[in-house]
Amino acid sequence: MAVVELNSENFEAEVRKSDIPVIIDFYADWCGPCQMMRPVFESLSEDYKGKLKFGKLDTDESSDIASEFDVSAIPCLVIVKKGKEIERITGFASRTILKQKLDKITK
Amino acid sequence: MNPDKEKELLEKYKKYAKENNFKLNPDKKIVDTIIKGILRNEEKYGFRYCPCRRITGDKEKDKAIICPCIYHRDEIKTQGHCHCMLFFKNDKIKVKK
Repeated sequence: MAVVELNSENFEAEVRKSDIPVIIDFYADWCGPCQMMRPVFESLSEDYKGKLKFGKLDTDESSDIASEFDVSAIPCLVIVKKGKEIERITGFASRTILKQKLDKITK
Repeated sequence: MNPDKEKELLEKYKKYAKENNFKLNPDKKIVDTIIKGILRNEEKYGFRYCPCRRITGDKEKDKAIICPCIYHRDEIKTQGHCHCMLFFKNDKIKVKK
């Protein structure tokens, strides 16, 4: 699967101990812009295969992790490199804007 | 989910948008999701919290995110739409995907 479903059980291994940077999509099922974000995020996960790991986290199911990252509004994309947050995008972002940011990170 | 309640809330927000010179998002699917989310929050927490913001559990603090939230006017002014993309500026209804 191109996008990993993250939760408190796999977060440590998939995100904190990841060898490559991870972009996390904090979302909720009832959030309209999160639904818009989904296809953009999924298609980008194909473009950055091997360079960037794509994960999504349901903020209702894993509210502890969302709180830890101080996520107050969704969709929220957080990029974590070597266990540390390096970038955050809150609100819907177009494919073009996201690509610009991701290209810089994966250069 | 109660379809009558959904319809009623949709009409309420349409009226609110019109009165304030906003528009609802032209994407009906997104509006429908947001309306359902607001009603779900009402069922679960007792208030019509925005489904695009996280509920802290502190009722005083969370008053700020009851839709229409305290942020929507500024967001519409600066971004052309509120964070949750329910309300749009009258002249800006296109979102680049």
